[in-house]
Amino acid sequence: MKTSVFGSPLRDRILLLLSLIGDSYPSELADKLDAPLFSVQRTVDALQNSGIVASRPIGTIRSVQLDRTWYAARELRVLLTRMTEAHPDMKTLAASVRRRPRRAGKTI
Amino acid sequence: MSLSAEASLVDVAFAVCTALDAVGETAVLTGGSAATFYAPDSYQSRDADFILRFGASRKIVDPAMSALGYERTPAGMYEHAQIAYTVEFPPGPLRVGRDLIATWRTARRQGELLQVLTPTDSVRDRFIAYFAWSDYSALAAAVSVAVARYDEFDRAQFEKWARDEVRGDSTYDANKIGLFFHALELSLRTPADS
Repeated sequence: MKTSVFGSPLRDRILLLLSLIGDSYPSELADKLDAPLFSVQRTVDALQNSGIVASRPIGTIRSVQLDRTWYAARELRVLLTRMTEAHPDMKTLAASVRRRPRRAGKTI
Repeated sequence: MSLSAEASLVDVAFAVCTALDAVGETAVLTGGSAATFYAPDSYQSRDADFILRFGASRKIVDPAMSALGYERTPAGMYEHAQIAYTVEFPPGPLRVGRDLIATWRTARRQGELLQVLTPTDSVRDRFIAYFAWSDYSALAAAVSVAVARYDEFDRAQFEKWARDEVRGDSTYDANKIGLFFHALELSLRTPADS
């Protein structure tokens, strides 16, 4: 049975992944979480409306991250860190997200 | 109550706050619009951000806004057909970083009222946008408010709070606190030196 802490399994997984990788964008979240892009965008909107997540446009990308200025951001991070211990698959998923530079034109 | 097409952001803020107060809702001006209230010559926001009490109902808010000519858009902001300034109600509670805000200032003019962050809280509110997102326009707004309301700006409270934020989140760059005070000193010196 799928249970959730933040209202839906997708919300939980987005927050867990953001806590591990720092920042992302909806299409990357959808890809990594194997979720429909529309659902991810809608969930990110809801998290942003509640103040937990912040997003800002960078070029054509909507960069998404936990809002460190949220009044309970510290406590949220502690909770999410504890939750990742119970979900090692999220750490594996986070490890698959490439953040280091890649030379232009290099084959993947 | 109606707003003319020439209404300033502060005019809009007074009108909205007064209209909501009349229907029993407390709305506190925050964000860049609070900075514009305190330093209108230095910083001009394009929207008025109000924090409502927890549980405020759209059934109460929307008609009050509609009476001023502001209608809610699908994106959740309120727009006026003749006025460029928009109105938004970001998620509460009223806070600056980790600090929950329980007291604010009430300004009055000609039968209208405006509830707004105190000058020190307005400086803190703008500074944290610079602190967290490196938004230099927010730093400029923070400095502008501190200069415009220097007699009311509590430097000690500001610095203690900023250091506490760093203690709570080690990814904050404490050097930005020093940069703020440096920019403040420069701004305070400029009029006399020029």
